[in-house]
Amino acid sequence: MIVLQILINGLLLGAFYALIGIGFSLVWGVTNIINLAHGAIALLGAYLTFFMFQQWHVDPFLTIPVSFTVMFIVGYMLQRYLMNLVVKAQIFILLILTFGLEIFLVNFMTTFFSADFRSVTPDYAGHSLILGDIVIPYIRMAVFFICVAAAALMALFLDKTWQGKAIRATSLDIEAAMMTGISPAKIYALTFAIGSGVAGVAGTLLTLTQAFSPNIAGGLTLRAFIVSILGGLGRVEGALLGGLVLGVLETFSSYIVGESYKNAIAFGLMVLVLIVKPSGLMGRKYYAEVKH
Amino acid sequence: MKAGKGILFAVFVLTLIALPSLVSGYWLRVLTQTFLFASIATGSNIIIGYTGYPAFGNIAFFGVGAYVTGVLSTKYGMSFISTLPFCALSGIVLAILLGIPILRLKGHYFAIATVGVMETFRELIDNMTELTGGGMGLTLPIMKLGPESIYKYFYYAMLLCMLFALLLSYIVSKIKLGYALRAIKVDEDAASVMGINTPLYKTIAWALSASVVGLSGGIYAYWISYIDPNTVFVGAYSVKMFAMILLGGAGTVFGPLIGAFVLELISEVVWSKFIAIHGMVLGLLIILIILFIPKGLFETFKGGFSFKKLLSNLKENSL
Amino acid sequence: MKKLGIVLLACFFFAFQGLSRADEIMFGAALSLTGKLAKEGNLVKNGYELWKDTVNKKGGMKIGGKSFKVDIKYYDDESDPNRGAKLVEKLVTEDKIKLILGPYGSESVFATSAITEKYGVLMVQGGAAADKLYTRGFKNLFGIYTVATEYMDDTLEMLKNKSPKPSTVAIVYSNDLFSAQVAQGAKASAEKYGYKVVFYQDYPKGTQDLSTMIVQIKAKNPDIILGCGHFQDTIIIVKQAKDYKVNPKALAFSVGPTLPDFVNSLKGDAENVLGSAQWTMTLKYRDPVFGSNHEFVKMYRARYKEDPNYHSAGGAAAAVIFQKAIEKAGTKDDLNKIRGALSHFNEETLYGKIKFDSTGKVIGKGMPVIQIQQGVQKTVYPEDVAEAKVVYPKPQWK
Repeated sequence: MIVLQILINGLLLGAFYALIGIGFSLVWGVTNIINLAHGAIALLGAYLTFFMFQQWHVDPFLTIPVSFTVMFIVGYMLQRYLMNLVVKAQIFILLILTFGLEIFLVNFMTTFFSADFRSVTPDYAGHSLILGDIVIPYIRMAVFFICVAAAALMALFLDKTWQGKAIRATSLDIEAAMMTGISPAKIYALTFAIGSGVAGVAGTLLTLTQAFSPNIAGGLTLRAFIVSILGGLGRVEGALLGGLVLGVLETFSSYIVGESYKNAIAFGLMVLVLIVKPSGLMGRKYYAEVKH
Repeated sequence: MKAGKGILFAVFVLTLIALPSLVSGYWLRVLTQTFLFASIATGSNIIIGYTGYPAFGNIAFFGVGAYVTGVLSTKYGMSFISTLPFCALSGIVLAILLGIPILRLKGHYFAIATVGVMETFRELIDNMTELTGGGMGLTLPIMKLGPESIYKYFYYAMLLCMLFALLLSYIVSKIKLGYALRAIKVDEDAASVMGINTPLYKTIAWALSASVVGLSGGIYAYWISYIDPNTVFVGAYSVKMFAMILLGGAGTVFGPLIGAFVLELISEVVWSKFIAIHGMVLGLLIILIILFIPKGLFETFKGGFSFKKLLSNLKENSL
Repeated sequence: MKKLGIVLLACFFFAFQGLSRADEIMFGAALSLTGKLAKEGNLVKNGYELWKDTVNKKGGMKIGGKSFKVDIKYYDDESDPNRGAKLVEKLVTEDKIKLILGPYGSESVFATSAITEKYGVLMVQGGAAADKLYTRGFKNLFGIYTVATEYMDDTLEMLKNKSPKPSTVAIVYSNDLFSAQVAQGAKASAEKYGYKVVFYQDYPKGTQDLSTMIVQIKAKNPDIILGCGHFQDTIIIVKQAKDYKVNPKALAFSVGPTLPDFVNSLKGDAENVLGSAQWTMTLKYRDPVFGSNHEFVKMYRARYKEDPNYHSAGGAAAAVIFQKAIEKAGTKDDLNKIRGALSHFNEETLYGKIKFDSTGKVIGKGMPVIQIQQGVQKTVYPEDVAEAKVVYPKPQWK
């Protein structure tokens, strides 16, 4: 029974990891930017939710659209007026740029929001669905469904809308896309905006299940890394699968090997996947490899 | 090296050798730290700058080197000096073992694989409590010397390490290996077609780079005398190292050294003026370096300072 | 070259001598004012500042019939122990300060006290609790925090005679120096008091999820759960314990419940959780500078518009002890005499009755136990200073 419980825990956790990873993976796949500030952007969303809850007692779930919209705008600005300026440079220049941004955002949050750990606990927190020996906390279940729904919405957007198709076209062949009248500068900005918006939503959900401070930004980014590598770049289904795999892997390795080994195992698996199948569990060739 | 440059460098080294009798303990410490970063940056430049492989997690070798010295001196009672060859060796061996699979990856994938390697090492050492003290850290034996002498000792040790890194970097740039690496950087496939054994040269480059980084880790551990996984596997050091390489000029012999001195000394002098917001200032500074002088100070301002150049740098990479 | 050096050095020397006035005593502190320990660092600084202004308002320190104003020179170590060491070096060699007030955090104190020891200058610290600080044979470090291995002792002692009598304990801890020592000490104390330790495991520092561990603990159904970690882990453990309906008779933490954010973050779920405190606002101690602990709390509130916690009180108390030792030694320059006065220190302060053993760590101070009751921290142990009776067993989660 305990094994089933741990599997469920892993899936619930994994859906959240997937949400953190989706935006990161999309940005990477399309614009070839590894956004080291991704975790910091997610935390901005978390702080939005936290302050709205604290000041006006807005239910955390109701702040999801706000986080998405605000971070969407922030992301659009960042890409349009900062990242686009260096996007053609060597990749490690981009890495350093986003790290500079990360340092800036984390210190900005520390200065203005303090380094305190925060958490949001609405009245209904801690209630659970109990099925015999199995316990499923309602909040985690809600987080799970929101994450899956967000992933589905994003997949639909990329598949069905003109903008979504433009994003995919740009990621495949930027020159060809330009010839059909797509402006890569705008498409890049849109992609980064969506990535940041989804990160903001992940931040909102983070407030409900854990404690956060500006200093966990790096940890979140690392999770996004692993999810993207496991799933394959630029693919929503891939990130969802990668997140779930990571979640289950973590809970089972802490059950079988011991809690303190779970990170080592997660990173080890990431390196292994990179070596054996760099395109990820579900990555298709074109998304990742055309660029190199 | 041209004669003028050679003389300049000799004066620089002689000044550094003479300094300990002139300045206080605090500045010795600042300089020792600067040498440390200069060593790491110069060593890493061989794989990053020469070969064009962004080894973002190169600090992994630093951490391992620190623990090699730590474990050998506490558990096996070896003296500080005798542990150092093992630090360099640990870097070489690990870089070869890891290089065979990982150096096949390119660009971002390689960068991330190295980060993954660093995090894995950190977590493993964190869990090998019996040997490494795990999260509780490791206290190294303190030298039986007065404070002044200990300072000078590590000042000179780190200075030697830095000069060693420079020498290695200089030699690599002059021999066939260096040309092969530059060919790989420009176009690996073409280099391969021309008959360059690219996997071999890449691995050698990484191993050399790792040996320097490992060595500096070993010296650092003994100098600081207490290490734990979080103080030697520091992602922030990777970034600092990259910023230094960029600032001074990637792929040049002296660039990383100059970058290290500029950045470390600026941070020492300027930071104290921005106590509350220096983190934000550092972030902005990195962003500005990337935007305006991605090729390094010296390449950018070869013919004197001009705003035009800054702007043209900005335009070059934008979409 | 050498001559030039001497001239330069002399210039430095005079430049810095000129800064410190003759009727003033300079203390130095390299604290974490930014970075991950910024909060605690700033709280300790608040304690130092309140002490400084209180002493100066009263006319300053009295040494041999003369009065001296006090001042403190601060640097920011950015939460990096290595940088802290460098800055203490700067305080000692460039600013010529020989009286160092400690930083916050075991790692920082560990690194910086190695510097003060090298130069033979004194450090009194109210910001670190690792046992390891005192096993290095240092002569110049004095600490007022009860050490990590004794953190959970009072809690376990308090619970051992309650009814229904608890018999099993689960201990979980974060994999870092301080928490591992707290856990080792807790395990030893548990065995000493006759409990059975049924679960003992570490988790990675700063982990975001402990659901597996919670489920495993639930299977053991222990009477007491002890969490030895940091604030964020404490929040996760309480939330997940409620999620998975783990119902021990007592839920106690080494760090967390004493911080005001604990109740802010957890709201009602914080009820009846136990915490170990270096210090609480309601302890009835007298103090030579502030008058009493109660007075200190009042002055702190008036100045900072918030309640003090053990970080700020620790800073203030460390400074008070330093001051009293210097006054007793009757000199501000003879470090040997001041060191002697510190080793024989035996006075009541706002932090408790302070005495140091030969290694420089405080002895006999203990760890008062607090419990969250109706959203407020109440001191529940030791009984002679308790404000309220402990709620035991802890009611089940609804």
